[in-house]
Amino acid sequence: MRNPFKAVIVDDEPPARRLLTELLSEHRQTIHISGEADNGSAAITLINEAQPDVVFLDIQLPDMLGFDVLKQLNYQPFVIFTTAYDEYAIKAFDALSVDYLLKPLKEDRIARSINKLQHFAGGNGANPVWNNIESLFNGFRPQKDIKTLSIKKGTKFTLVQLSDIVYFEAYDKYTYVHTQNGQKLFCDHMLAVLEEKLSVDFMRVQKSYIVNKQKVVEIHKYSNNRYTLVLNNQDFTRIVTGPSYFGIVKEAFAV
Amino acid sequence: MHIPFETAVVLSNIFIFSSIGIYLYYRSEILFSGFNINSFNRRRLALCLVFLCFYMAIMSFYPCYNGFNTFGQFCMVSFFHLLRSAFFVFLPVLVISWIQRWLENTGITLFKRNLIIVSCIFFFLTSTNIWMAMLVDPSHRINTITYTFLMSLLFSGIVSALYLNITYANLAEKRLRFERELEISKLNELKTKAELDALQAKVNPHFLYNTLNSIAELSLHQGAKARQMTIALAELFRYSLNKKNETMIALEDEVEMVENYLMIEKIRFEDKLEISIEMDNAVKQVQVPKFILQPLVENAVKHGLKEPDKKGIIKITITGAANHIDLVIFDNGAPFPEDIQIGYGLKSVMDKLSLFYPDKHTIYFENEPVKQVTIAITNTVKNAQPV
Repeated sequence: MRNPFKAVIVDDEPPARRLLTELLSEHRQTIHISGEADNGSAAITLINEAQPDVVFLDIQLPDMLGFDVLKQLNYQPFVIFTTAYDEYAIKAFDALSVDYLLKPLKEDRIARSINKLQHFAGGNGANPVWNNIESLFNGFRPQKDIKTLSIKKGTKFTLVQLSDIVYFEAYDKYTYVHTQNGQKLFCDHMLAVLEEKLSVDFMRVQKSYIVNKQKVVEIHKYSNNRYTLVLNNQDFTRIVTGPSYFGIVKEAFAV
Repeated sequence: MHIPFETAVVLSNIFIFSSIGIYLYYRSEILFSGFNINSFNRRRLALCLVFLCFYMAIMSFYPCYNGFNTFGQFCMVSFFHLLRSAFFVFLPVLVISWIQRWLENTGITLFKRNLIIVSCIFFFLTSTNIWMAMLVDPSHRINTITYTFLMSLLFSGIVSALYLNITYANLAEKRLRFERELEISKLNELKTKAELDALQAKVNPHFLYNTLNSIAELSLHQGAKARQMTIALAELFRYSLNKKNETMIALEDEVEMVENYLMIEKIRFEDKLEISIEMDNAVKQVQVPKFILQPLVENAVKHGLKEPDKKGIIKITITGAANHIDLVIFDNGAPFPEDIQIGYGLKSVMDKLSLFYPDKHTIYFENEPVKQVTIAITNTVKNAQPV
């Protein structure tokens, strides 16, 4: 019989930590709780110092994700994830971690996790999470494509949904944003900066214009290397594309 | 039958030029679509060309009466005739189109506007024609003027008819487009309504399971708190399940729901959360869409708790009168980033606002002097009926 596992609990809610402690006290012989943390950065310090055998780790921490904690450790404990709900993550946990616990926590499930832990600790398998942390991490990272643009008005800023924007017009070092309902908003970014930030729906078609591809209703040939785009706003704005953007426009609209 | 050369030239010119003119006018939208000009100028350009053609047609007798001996001379005379016509065409078209634009901005009815334009067309075509006829050889003048006058009347009639035709066709097209847009916007509203329903039935599952987990713990040693939390959760669910199928609700009730929600969060995070809510009596009964406040409060809680070892403070202030309200949500978390990314909750609030208060609301974010988000609804009455 080996020494009890040294365990650390990471969860942002005090009741959740107390419940886990309470339920683990049933397994006093195998698990000894040596510390608790209620946020990611505290957890990193604690784990690096205490060097526990196992970490009960919540995924949604206030300052970071549980995976971010693992990435920043200089020590590799066994990991049992605790989470309230996440369909995708559960699939990943099944394959990659020692085990996972769903909230509300259940006694028999905890017992099973501890069995699994003993199995891994007995040298019957490699500590799974560390070989696969990258894929765990990537599978879980919420994808952030930008859907809004923030526009500054003094110290305040408002948000415009990208789907409402028809086109951008360069104005010196600034940009005018033209929206579907005819508003013309001032934005203090350069057009080139915006071009990098915007999603694939938007396309630079001329030195001083970026258009929303979804808002183009008609395309006419203007000259042998330029097109006229008719946009679907209130006054059907027409924009002539630049000669150097000919190829891109042609490809984008398959004309 | 012997047809004199002059007559043949005149007749063929009339035929050719008027055909070209009519063709150009009908095709103007397509022919000039490649030019980057607005539709007003495009129509003006088309009108210019049409006038020019008719001018050429009307005045085609002119070279004949001026005398020429060789084909080269004929071409020469015709060319100068074309230049002169171009000048005489450009002027009236310019004037007429400006009159037209000016008329459009006045409140005169379409019928009267068209009447004025048509009389302008008649006036310009006839007067400039007659004036130009004065240039020809005096011995032919009387004949020429008679001929010009009659022809001008005829062609003025044709031009006017074309003009009216295009105007009414445009009108019909505009109406059609308007109807189509109306239909689309109605569809969008229905879609948003469906989304709204879906939205309301959804309580963040993360929140639900975490709350249940907390209740499970509290039930072991702190029965009273567990009971309090269970009741609050039940209230929250009743509100979101929306049995009565209502989209609008008194602001007071929405705030009560937010209080329930905050109570749960406060128990979950114990002493880490400090909450205050202030509401003017005047706005308590104002009807607002359900879940207009809660998603933003949820975000504020999330951000207020983000920094370790710091108490999260949430302040909700609601001010206003019967028809305009300001909802301000303060939290002491990290400042809003330069480019805020919109989450599910914020998006649902923005969608609801633009559905119920189009152009009558603003939502803005501030970091200075304090970090807060404000929803200002400038008119809660007009568009506030459920879809």
